[in-house]
Amino acid sequence: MLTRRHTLLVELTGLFIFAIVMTLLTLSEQVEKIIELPKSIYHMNMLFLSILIEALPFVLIGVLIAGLIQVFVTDEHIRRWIPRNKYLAITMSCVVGACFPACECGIVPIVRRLVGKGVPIYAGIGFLLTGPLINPIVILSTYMAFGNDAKIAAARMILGFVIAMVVAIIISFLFKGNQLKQKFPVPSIKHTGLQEKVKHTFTHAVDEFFDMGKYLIIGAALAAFVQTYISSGDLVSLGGGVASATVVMMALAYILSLCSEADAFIGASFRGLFPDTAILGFLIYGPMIDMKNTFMMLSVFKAKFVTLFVLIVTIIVFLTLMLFQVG
Amino acid sequence: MRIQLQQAFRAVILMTFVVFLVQLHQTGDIIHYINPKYEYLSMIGAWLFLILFFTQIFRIWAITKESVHKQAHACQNNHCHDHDHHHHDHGDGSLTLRKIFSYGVIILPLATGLLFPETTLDASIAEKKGIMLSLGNNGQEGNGGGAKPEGEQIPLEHTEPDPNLLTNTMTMEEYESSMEALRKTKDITMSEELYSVYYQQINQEPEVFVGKKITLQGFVYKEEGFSDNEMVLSRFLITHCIADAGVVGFLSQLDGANELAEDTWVEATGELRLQEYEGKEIPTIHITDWKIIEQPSQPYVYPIQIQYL
Repeated sequence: MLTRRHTLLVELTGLFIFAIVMTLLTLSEQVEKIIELPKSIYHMNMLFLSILIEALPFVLIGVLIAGLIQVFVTDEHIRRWIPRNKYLAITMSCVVGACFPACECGIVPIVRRLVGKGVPIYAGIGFLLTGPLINPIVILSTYMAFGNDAKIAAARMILGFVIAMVVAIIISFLFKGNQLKQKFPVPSIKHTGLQEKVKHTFTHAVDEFFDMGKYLIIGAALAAFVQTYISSGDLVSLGGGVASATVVMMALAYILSLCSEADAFIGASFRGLFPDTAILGFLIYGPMIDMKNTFMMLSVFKAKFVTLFVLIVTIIVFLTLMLFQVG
Repeated sequence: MRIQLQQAFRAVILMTFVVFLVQLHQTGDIIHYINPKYEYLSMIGAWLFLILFFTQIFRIWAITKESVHKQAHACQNNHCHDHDHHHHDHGDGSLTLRKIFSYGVIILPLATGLLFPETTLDASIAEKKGIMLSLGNNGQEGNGGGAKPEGEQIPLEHTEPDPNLLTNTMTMEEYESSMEALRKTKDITMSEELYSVYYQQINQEPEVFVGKKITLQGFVYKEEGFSDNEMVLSRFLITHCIADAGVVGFLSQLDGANELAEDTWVEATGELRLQEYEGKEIPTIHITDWKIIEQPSQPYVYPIQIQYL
């Protein structure tokens, strides 16, 4: 399909682009010496970049898996795999999410593809909620951060699972249709050869990255801003009783936007200040929803859906924790 | 044959991500952003960007009408609505304001990453993060007494220029023998790897260590309400990236501490005592000897994991 001349042209273009980028790099070093800004801006920038550097590999893996789903999984597969029964489908999606080692950034493009392929929205949500919260790395890091105390780790997993189920069931009653922002066209071309399929997987991944990347970046920038300019100490001083402490810790989880695999130590460090119920609020709510994640969801789902979803999760997490107070 | 400028621009962006990440690794500056333990992850990120770049450069040139059509088709299928111009346009006709904004956002981290200098987190961030993280640390009750601390996430200091020399992990035997040594010694040096293993242990059972001599490094941080001779010798503990940094440190007593500016790096020796702070008994250091030092090349500390097997 590609002529030799075309291949050569592509190679030359690649080299040319590499040269442009290296030139930009050299130029930027010159410019860096000229600009001078307040130190807090530089701090914010460091936090902003570190969140991105940490999240990007997961997002890229996520968009690649999304690309694979787009090309290799047909709507028919989905119809066959997902149980007809709503409750069975929700249970299955939560269990699959629990087995699937994902983080909250990587999972959004995957859920988008699945829902686009015909997975019911409530099943997609179940998967979205349990994926980042329940996986081996999170269990292990929680266990260790809380001084080999299995209680918190176990409560995090079990309550998290229950909450995900409840939220997914509520969603199934409230929403019909896939709630995706754009209408997802049914693939009209059949990719034939494997090589073609692989090529399309990567092409889809590129488009997905540019589509979703900007939301991740906005979310990371906001999280960095909050961390640089707003004192979490002020927030913490608001938490008196169990209920208000839980609200405070949930709010903290939302604005800090930590990766679910890295939040255990931070959560543990609040143990001297707050009851375990509030700590669990931090540990369960954070992986389900945070600022970075909300923005990524806005890139996929209708704003009305995202708003209600955030509201439902917030209320359910809070109520569940108040019902099953631990420690 | 015609060139798709937007596709070319996307290729440039992908390549810049590759170069930016690789450069961070080459210069070692990556440790200013993330825990060196996870460097390999960001390297995987760089490889994935490179693969995406190679995919992308094939989309820059459209040779025949058929291929132009095919590409447009694939795009439609993938629903990148911004590519509709492939059907009829020669290039940038439909470069809307919305799209310019989108690309602007994507470029933002690259621009600030390349143009802004790197900094180290300091006392101003510690204030926002909340030093209560460190002072509240001893509140990990339920773990004292006979509890086995083996699996704790324990901060480990990197002052070596090459952090890869340190593995961030410890075997059980190594951990137990170092704890044994810590309990016996009268003269604790919070040096190198053992710095932070010790930190955790001292905060867990401070009464064991009262009266012992301790030597450590840290930056000066002060809280509102501290008296003239109080300060905290602190470090940032990084789990994954600096956004999840927590502050760890010892409350320290030193006559004339008020003359030491925040963020000054100090190496100090003193005696460990217990002191009440906000209703809790916490280990504090009564400094006898100290000097101002340069900021260590690796200012952060990292939790380590004990290998169970």
